[in-house]
Amino acid sequence: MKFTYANGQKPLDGFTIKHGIGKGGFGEVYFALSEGGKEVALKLIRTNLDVELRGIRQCLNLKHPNLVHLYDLRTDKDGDTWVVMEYVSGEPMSAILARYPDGLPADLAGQWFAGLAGAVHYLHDQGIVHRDLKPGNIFLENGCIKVGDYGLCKFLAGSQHLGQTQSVGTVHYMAPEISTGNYNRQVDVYAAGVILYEMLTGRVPFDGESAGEILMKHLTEKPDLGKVPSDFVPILDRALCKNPAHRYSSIAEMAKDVAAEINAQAAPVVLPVGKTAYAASDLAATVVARKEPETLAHPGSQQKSAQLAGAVLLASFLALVFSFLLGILFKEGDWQSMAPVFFLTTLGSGAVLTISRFWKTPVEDSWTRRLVLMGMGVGLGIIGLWLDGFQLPWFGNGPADSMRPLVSPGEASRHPVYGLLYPDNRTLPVFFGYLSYFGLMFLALRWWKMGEETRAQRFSVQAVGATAFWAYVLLFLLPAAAQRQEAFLALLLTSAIVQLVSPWTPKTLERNKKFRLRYA
Amino acid sequence: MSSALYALPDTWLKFPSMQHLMWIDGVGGFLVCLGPRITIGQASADKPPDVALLADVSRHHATIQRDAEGYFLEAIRKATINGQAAEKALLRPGDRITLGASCQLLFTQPAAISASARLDVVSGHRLQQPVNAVLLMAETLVIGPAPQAHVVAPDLVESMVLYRMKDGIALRCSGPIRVNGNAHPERMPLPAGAQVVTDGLSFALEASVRGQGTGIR
Repeated sequence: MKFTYANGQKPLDGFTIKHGIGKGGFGEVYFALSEGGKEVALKLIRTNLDVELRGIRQCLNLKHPNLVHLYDLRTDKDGDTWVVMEYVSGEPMSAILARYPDGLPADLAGQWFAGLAGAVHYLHDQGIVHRDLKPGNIFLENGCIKVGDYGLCKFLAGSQHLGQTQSVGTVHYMAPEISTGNYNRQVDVYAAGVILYEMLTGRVPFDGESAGEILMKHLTEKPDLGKVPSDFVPILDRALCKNPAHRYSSIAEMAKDVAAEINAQAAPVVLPVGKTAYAASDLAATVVARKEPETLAHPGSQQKSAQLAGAVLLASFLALVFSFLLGILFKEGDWQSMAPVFFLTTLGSGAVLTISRFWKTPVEDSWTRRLVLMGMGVGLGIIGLWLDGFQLPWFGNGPADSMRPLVSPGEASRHPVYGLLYPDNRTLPVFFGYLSYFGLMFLALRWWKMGEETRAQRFSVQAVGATAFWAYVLLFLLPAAAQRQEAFLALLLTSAIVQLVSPWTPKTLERNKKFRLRYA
Repeated sequence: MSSALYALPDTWLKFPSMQHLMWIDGVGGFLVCLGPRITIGQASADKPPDVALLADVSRHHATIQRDAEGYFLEAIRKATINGQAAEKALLRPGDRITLGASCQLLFTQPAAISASARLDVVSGHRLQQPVNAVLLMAETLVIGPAPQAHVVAPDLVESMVLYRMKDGIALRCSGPIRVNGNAHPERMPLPAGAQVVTDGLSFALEASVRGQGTGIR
């Protein structure tokens, strides 16, 4: 880190710089002593002068025990502007959270959240939105929360539409509506929700490789609340709503709910804050040490697996009902020929549901998913082959062509492709025909889209149509009419059933066309 | 290069200060104590102790002495180690020393290769000097990115070591060192008031100003 000023320099009359503290999006921050020995933080503002200055002037006289106080706004000989503010000797919350990758104990998180909410509520009450709440801006000094960097905050205009053209903030804590430029204090509720989530689990709800990817998740993906202690799930569910109107209307209300949960917990840990104040980090160390044995379970993945099992069970039930109905309609009760349809549908739906539930990598690499699905399709082909009564080549102990043909020699030689390619051998074409039919079917379509919770409609006829199209086009790969019918029906049913059994949340938010971002 | 460039103040050569303040950009301030014996007590204008606390403790409350076996705490007034009353005791890393009713210090020796120790005030009290911690420097002090350093500087890629020389403190690190804007040869002590810039870090070394009478033993 290179700083403009070094130890001993006095760029601002009356203050001696001791050392640089850090660099933010808006400028350098120094630790300095006044002539009388007062410790202060000096912030040199170089960029975004107007935005920042307006915000700071509004905040200059705010007083709250949980806010980092601003003392003055000064200009030096070179015309640079400095903010003189309270020096907080504690660590930023981000540094503490980094030491607890599995999250803080709930009662400590609740206590800190109360401090945070107190400061934010005070700002809101003064008509100010912080806009950039994040653990890097929140400090802990002797167990007391200090919220800083509210120089970014802006006055709430009378109208809700602020016409702000710049979005400033950190992407991990950025509410979805910030990208629209039309937002209000609800963004602080969202950011506080993200911070509470991070305090409880040790990670942010939405993470990714790029800012754009994280933003997209804020806009579309539902947060995974499986890792959060169950008592806090409803609170976070509400605070992290995509639609600002569905969030807590005030942070005080949210803080009340959090405090109620903390108080409701059976054995609250007594925090050592009597006459002696302890440094926050030590406090955390004591409490975390006591809680360690409980952190083994992973309710998140367990819950997910349970949900998945339920969905697959439902899918197999629907497959049974549909194959039964189709059997009555088309096969005049020939159940035996419908059995493969049932099994293939169940297995196919299971595969698709698993993929759409457990695969969390970004959607951009759709080809990886397609290839994995193709692998599953090939597996399905093998099972289909077996269900149709063919002896699998590696189990057969007869000669190479001993796959028991359901296809009469005549029919196979009339087959448009097999007849040409393999006039004498029927085993290979039947074997590869099955494998490539199911493999290609699962490669051709983005099946996981049908299982996504954020899909546009609960049931899309187009998706079934697309499945039907590909299933029909590729039919030539299968040896005979009976197998073609059965595979066609099974795939059609799979696409319908996956959509029917996957959970679906109607979209509440219009996707924004543009993201204006500053990596501040 | 002429040595005049590095001319040291006379006082520095004759009476090397036993205490320095080290101000590290992006990290914080540290009181570096070089003497084998440091006194701890309440900050006062005359006869201040080596480690001056703004707390409800006596002017000379305790002494920490370093010898071949380690660090010993000698309590002059009421002191406890991890809650146990102590008069003279060997300090182990992680010990919490409580002076008087409430002022608590955490004693650590983060770097295994070095006998140097670190004292942090963990009870919310302040030191008279506005620093983050006290470093009791034996032969070396490690500044590095990992927690196994006396001073943790997360932005550093490679550790650097401050080591004791006959005439003062010198710095060892992989890249070039600039002091007060000039290239600095290896194995030369850092002058008083040095502004040091290395590849990954910049810091200032300031001789600590204290009341008369206690500086040199």
